Amino acid sequence: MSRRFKPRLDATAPGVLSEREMQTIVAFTAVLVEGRELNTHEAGYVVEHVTDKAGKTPGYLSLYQKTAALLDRLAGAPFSSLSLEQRIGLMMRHRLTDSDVRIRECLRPWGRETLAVRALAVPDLIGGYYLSPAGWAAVGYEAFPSRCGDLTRYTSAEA
Amino acid sequence: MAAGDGVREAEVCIIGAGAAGAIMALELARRGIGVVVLESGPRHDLGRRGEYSRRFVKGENPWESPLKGIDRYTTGGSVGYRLEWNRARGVGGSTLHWEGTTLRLRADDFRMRTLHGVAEDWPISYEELEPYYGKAERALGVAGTPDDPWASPRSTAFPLPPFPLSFSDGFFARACRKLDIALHQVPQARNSLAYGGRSQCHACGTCHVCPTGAKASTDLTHIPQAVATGHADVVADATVLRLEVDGSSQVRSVVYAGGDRRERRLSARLFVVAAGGVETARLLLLSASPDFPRGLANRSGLVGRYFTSHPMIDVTGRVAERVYPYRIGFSTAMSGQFAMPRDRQRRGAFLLEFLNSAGPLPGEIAPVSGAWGTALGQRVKAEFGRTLGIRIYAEQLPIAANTVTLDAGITDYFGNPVPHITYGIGPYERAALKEAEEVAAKILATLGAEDIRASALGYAAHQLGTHRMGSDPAQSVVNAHLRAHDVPNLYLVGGGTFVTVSSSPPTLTIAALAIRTAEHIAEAYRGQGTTRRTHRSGVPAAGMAT
Repeated sequence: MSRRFKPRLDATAPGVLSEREMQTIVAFTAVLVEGRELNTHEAGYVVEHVTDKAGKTPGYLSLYQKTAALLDRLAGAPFSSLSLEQRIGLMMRHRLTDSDVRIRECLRPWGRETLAVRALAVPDLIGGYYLSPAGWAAVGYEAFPSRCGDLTRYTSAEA
Repeated sequence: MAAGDGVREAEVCIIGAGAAGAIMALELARRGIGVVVLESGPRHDLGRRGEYSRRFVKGENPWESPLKGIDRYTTGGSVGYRLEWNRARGVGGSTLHWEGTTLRLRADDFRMRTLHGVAEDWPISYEELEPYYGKAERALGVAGTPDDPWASPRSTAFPLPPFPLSFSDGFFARACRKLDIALHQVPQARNSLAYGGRSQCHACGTCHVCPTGAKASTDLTHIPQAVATGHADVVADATVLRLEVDGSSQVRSVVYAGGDRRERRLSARLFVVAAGGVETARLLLLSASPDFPRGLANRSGLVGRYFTSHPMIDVTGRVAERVYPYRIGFSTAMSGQFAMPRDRQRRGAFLLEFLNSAGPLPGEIAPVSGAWGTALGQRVKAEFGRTLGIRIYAEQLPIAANTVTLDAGITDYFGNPVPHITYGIGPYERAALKEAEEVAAKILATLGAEDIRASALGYAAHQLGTHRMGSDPAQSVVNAHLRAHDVPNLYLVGGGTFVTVSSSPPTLTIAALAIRTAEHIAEAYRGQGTTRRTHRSGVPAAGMAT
């Protein structure tokens, strides 16, 4: 029952986001993953993840586009033009930081776009960011799978 | 399929450039015997491995063939054995993606019928194979130390010092001491120091794709040397479609094709099929003829039968301390205590591998943490790195119902029927897994671990037993030198020759057997007075104009 009503990815073709859509997604992700503006490297990880997913996996281009459209609409302006505090406020007001979508929410006939963003886009963007070097940095790792380092490091605790 | 081209010639044609095929190529070529290796997959340049490594951590399989449908297969049986991620097509074969664990079998493993009354004995003994294990270890560059109290005697030292135990191994060592379980190093074909023109390991953490070449793979360790002799050609992107026999039950030629599907022929005096446990059996079945209506070299009916692997489970538990996982991509400690000194009549042997990487990644913790913003990083840091894991590899007995057959209903890129894999396990394996799970849980409990749980049943990337060796042509496909009983100029090498599989990973044994078989072939050539210096055969790459 719950599975039937929960938001799902559609099967639309992969493709490329516009620059404005990407800016919106990066601005949204910054709030989700750090609660601050991202530096260039960190923003690059988001762009890489989103570009990869949108370009290779059916349904994600559409999900990101709908996410960007919703955010811009709720903001009444390009979402990325809002200050950090304004973005946080808007996302909290619309519960866009909460990916835990309850069944009763799924049964309502309104707000389907918001639910899709919460249930699908939010965990994807958080997961993509934390799979990147930024995620390893969060746990104190400078070297990690795919970034080579000092062979002896694994023999002791991290400093 | 396009019309055929002219026939090319070689002295020995080897099908497959993986562990067995590449080793055979080098061993024959260095003795002046001309070989042509036909490899179905492409060359994977070392220079691209960095990119492969980054794709791998994103969940992509960089070894996947570019030819659509070439790896298609179907499954049956109680455990669906899947081939994705469990084999690699390309020069180097499955050594491109293997873990590099290089255990020898133990002397008892060759005598299961005599000692335990189950399965069959091998037609060769550990003692006969022992010198070849040493040669294989030197060729691959194995790092290790003889600290496994259950290992069989060895006549040579490991060529490289072992990798030190990891920080998390220290936890396991403490528990094992309390429980009187012997923990020892894992021998591995990975450079603890620079060796064989390859660099020391740089702890890149993605051993499925080694970006530095520190892990041995035969595209780096054997193929360049074979080609350098001037007696070996390697043709990549050349999939062999069938072998053809003449009126005297000898193989006359192979038919192969590349991405253009144009058929080409290569004739040779002698043929070696080294395409892995699934594809070797399939190729023989695809090569049925009036002389061999059930498949080439299959008068016994055993080609494709007794498909065997190693059933696996991971047992994990959460500890209070941080254990710092994911800093190297391989394991450094294991226990072979349950692999030999036990009654193996009713339950299999098993190995315990103490994992250096277990538990969720930061990218798996974060999206389900419920946190966001500044709290998210703190939550991930608090959760990460508190899981210890033990991997169990269990012995499997050969089961006649486990098979590789042809599925005529589905075809591959070349229009050939795909392999159908039927796989399951029985009470023997379940008993071993149950005991192993209890032992692993006890080790974790000794460390104060909570939330101890076992994963679902899995299986190793080992495809074994499908053209097994033996003395009796009615009960086996190849003899002790891996020559087909039914076809005098055909050798079948690789894991398919295994009579029983022990609980050890097979690659070092595959390598040792390949060296032994190459020596046998070279001696046979000398005996015929036909060893001669040959020049490059000039066989064209598939897909190139001829």
